[in-house]
Amino acid sequence: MSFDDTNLKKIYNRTASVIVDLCYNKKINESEMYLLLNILELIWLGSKGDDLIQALLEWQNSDKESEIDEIIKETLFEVSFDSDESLHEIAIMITELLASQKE
Amino acid sequence: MLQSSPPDDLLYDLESERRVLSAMLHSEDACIEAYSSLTAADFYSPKHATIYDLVCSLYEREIRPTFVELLKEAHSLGILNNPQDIEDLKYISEHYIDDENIKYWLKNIRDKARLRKFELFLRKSYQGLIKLKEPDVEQVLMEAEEELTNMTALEIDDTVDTPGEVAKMGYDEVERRFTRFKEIKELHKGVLPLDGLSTGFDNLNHITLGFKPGDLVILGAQTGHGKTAYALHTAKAVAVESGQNLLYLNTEMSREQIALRWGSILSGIEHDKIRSGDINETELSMIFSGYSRLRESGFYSYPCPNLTPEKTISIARKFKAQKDIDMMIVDYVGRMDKIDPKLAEWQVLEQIVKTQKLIAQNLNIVVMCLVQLNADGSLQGAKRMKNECDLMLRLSPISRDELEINEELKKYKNPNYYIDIEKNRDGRSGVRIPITFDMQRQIMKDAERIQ
Repeated sequence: MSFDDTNLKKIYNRTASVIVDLCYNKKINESEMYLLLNILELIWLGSKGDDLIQALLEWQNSDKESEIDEIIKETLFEVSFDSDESLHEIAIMITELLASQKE
Repeated sequence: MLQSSPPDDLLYDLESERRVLSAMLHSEDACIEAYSSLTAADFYSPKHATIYDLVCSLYEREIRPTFVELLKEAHSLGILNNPQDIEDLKYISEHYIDDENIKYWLKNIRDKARLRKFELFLRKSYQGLIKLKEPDVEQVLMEAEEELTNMTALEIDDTVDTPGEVAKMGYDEVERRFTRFKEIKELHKGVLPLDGLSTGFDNLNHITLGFKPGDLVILGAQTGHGKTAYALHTAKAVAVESGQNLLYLNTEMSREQIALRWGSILSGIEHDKIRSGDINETELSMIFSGYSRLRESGFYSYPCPNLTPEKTISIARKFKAQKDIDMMIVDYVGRMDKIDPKLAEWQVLEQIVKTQKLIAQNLNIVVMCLVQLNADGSLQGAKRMKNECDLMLRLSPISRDELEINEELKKYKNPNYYIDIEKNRDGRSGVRIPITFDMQRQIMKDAERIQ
């Protein structure tokens, strides 16, 4: 395992632990924990959901507007992370919501 | 007096336990290796045993056991969820080792587990000894020796059957056969029910009573004479018609070629027509309905051009764990990569066949190996293969001359191939079964008797 791989592995492990700790300390709820863990896994495995990750990055860099943020968050809770189709659909939805925000 | 305890590090090795668990979280090969050689009881740390169980449970459900999946699984079961547990899990996940070293760490865990059993044996024997008032020395020593022998001379999975166990097993088996014989007479009207998986041929079923778990079946045929058709015919009987799970390893054909063959087999439409696409709407609908049956079946295909005997072990274990397969077909062993290039052809075949027999016995599944016969119909290393297998079959065409002169064959409608039973550990051998092989439709069936 190269030095870079080892570091990435550590980041992955620590991020996952932090997410579970946050839930244990009641800073986030269970649904939020599962959502964050699923997103982390999506990025770590890197085999699917590229467009969703792209959309999430776009969301992160966008102006924060509470109503749209809430809609995106609520929609993300409904995603089935096992289904490519579901990941693709939600990516489109987030992109569209962010576009409507710009308009 | 036996009072002091052995040093801690003699009886357990937490480092090895962490490293194996970590390897299971990072590599599928490590997971297969650990899954098939350890049990949770081999771990000293109860927490490690729990993590091992969780990882195995994920793996069995075909969920890649990553750190995140492990956290989710543990959380959903309400275990390992306090900050110290999470910290321990994180520590384990970071203990990654290369796959090549996994066997070393597994051996450490197994050895320590055996040492703990030995320590327990010593303690138990000592406790027993001091409690005895008038010991029967011979008896005490004999019992201790038996227990110790089980620990030293035998592998983990091996057991010694006591006279009582052998007698019980024998009686149960006779009773089962007695009940079955009664059933045959009363319920099945003289037709023998199968003891194992259907062979796809009534006559072969009648003689063998089906392929039984632990059996190694070898089928030989010359090139171009239906090895793959036979394999898929068997797969149809087992996976499509009986709904059992079967793994098909093919070393020669592509995924598309295998999928197309099923089109003919399940629809009865000529393979050439399907390949060229020269079919009408009705035929297309028949093919679609055939594939619907395949979709519902237990057929798993694994095209694998670089198959080695070691790889078959690992693939078979994986599919046994995840799909609970009842049978594996290897099509065909001559195309497997050599283990050692210096070995002669017959030595390689012997090793391959021995490996397949071990897979069949250890996983309690049927393994069928297809082998290629020489142009003269002989088989390289045939004697050695025959020794290893439980059922040896040969598929060969019936010549025109024989069709003309053999009176027995005239009692059948269109027989064109024989299945020769060259060895049958559980019944009659030296029997020839005439069959009809429609090469265009890739369909085989028992030759029909003329009324």
